[in-house]
Amino acid sequence: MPAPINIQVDHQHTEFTPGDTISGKISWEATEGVNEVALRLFWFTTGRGTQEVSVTAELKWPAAQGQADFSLVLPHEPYSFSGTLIALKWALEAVFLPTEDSSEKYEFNLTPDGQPITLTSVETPVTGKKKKRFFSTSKH
Amino acid sequence: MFKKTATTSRSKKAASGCGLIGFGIVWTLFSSLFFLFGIKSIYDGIGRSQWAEVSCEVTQFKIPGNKPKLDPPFQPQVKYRYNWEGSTRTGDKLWPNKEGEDKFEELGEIFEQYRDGKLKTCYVNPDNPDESALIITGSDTWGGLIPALIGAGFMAIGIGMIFIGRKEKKKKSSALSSQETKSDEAPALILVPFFSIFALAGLGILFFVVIPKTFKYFDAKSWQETPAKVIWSKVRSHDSDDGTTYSVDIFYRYKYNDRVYRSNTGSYTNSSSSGRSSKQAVVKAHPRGTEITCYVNPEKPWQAMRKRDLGWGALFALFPLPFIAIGVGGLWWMARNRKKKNRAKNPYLTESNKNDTGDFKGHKKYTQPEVEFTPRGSRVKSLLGVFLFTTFWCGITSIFVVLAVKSWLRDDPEWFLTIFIIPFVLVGLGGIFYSGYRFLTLFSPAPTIKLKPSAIVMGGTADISWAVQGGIGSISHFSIYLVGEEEATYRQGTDTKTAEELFYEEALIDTSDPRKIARGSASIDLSASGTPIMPSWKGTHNRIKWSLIVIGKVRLWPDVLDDYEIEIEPLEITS
Repeated sequence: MPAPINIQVDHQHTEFTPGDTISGKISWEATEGVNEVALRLFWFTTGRGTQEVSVTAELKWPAAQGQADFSLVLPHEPYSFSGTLIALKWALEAVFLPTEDSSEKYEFNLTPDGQPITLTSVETPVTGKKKKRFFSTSKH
Repeated sequence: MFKKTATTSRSKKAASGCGLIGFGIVWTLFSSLFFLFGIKSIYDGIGRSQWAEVSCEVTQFKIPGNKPKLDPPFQPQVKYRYNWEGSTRTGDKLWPNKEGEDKFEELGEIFEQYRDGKLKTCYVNPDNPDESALIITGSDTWGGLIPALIGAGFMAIGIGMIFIGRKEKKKKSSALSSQETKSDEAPALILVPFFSIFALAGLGILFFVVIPKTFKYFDAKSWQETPAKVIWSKVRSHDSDDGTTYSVDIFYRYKYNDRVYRSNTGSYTNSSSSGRSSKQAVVKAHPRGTEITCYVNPEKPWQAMRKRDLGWGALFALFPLPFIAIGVGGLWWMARNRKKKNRAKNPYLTESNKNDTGDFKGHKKYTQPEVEFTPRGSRVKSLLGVFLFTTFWCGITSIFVVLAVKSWLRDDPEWFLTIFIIPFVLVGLGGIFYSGYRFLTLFSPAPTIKLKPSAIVMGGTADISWAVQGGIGSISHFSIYLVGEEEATYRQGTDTKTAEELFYEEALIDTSDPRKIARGSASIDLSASGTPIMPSWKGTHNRIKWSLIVIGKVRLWPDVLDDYEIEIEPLEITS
């Protein structure tokens, strides 16, 4: 049974804007085979397209330390959005290295005004006639 | 305050990737048979090259040419005596590892050495002096190189699959943030050996077959026309994975400088093809005793051929080109892509994009004051693409069409071939029709679009202007749309598919007024749009794409339909 990692974020909301600072505390129990703990800031996609993951920042601490404070300035882009085919989300995740046991993700939105971006399909596109439309259902 | 407590995600999806590993193992093991066969041949060849060369007396050297049903048909009968460490031994092998040859010419030179009394040595295995042969050639050693190289290439593909499968398996069971998308690393493990096999095969055929044959073609122009007589003729069958093919085999005798020679060389390429009856007709026309003409190499009179015109055989010179194009082109494409991707690495992760505390800051993009879009380049590119595809497709298909038509003309129709090529011919005809259509679009009216500035900041404004110039026919209805769409690429089975979905469509101009069609301007105001939008974004498999789509209805001529991708930028921030 892997030991737990806790992420505590100093915010009551999950809506952020570019340049905001996200801060908090991470604590863990060092176990055998774990050398380091990493906190990663990353975005990932869900939906019809092949999933993509991109880590934009990573902080590391020795496993023996047990806890640490963190503070990260959020990048400029890409924005979080939710479309018919694709959704893009931001998250923080803590990972034991090298075992790869991880915490649950702390997911949040990064948008220009803190409001979610939801893309809805154009009902009857005029130019869509020239495009292949494989789907008309909402994303899975 | 948000709090998340750990759970492990290691065990999930661990089984994924096992299929690829299993397939990779089977593939590698199967390929290794070829590799091992090649290596063993090379090893044996190297061992034979160490055999001792000793003096010998050849007492018999006959090449019976009266048994055309033998496989191979020319199996020399030799006998010779040699001394090894004081004792006399006898041998009866011309080569250490084969019985005979399909082509008499391969035996011609050695047979002439015998006739001239120059065959005075043989090769003896020092470990087993009873084992000997009259000839040991370099091909004994290097003949295994081709299966070894091809086997190694296929093994590399299999090992690549195993490696990717292991990586995939490990990735699936690791944390999500450890599954960072790296688009081209894994496929390179498979694609590099794959393209290398094609390149090596193509270059090998070019340098070792096509170029020597080309030299022979020019050399043969000076060969002497000589009367010859048919000894026997037959249709030879060749079994392969693609079915049985047939060739004409005519064995003939000729006299040159008062010496009798024999040969079964037809032309430069002793090629075979499907359809037995046409070959049977040639054989029927050349029974034993038929007087024919052959062409003899005056410098090596054991070399001759019945036909020295190239005919359809000249097309063989093109055979390696698709292999080289796929192999070398694929490797070049991979190298170019790799370079491109290295250049376009995530800007957030570069050191220069960190602020003093090591965090990542926003960045400012550089926008040109104006960008102009014209359809000429894209229309020419589109035509070239369709034309090249159609030419390639029809070129290949036409070979089979000619074969089918010929079979019908001689009242021996190839039914299977005829039915099989119908869909290919239809695709070719479609390509010709579409090439014609794309050609006509070159002369359609060409609207030039100007966008100021070249990229629009999210929530910002821009100006667009257009002018319709030249072309055949006049536009009766004209519209320009600003379009935003999601584009998702995904795997379904072995196919890669792309799904598109429009989330934004705004008509910037939609008119039938000839004055407005000829020239005009409009504004783009993204702040006024009530629809939520997302700026342009491009991942490895997913993207948000913005375009200007220009549509013009033209009477009795292909319509105008041009698509220009534009950039909608995120809001700028300063750190």
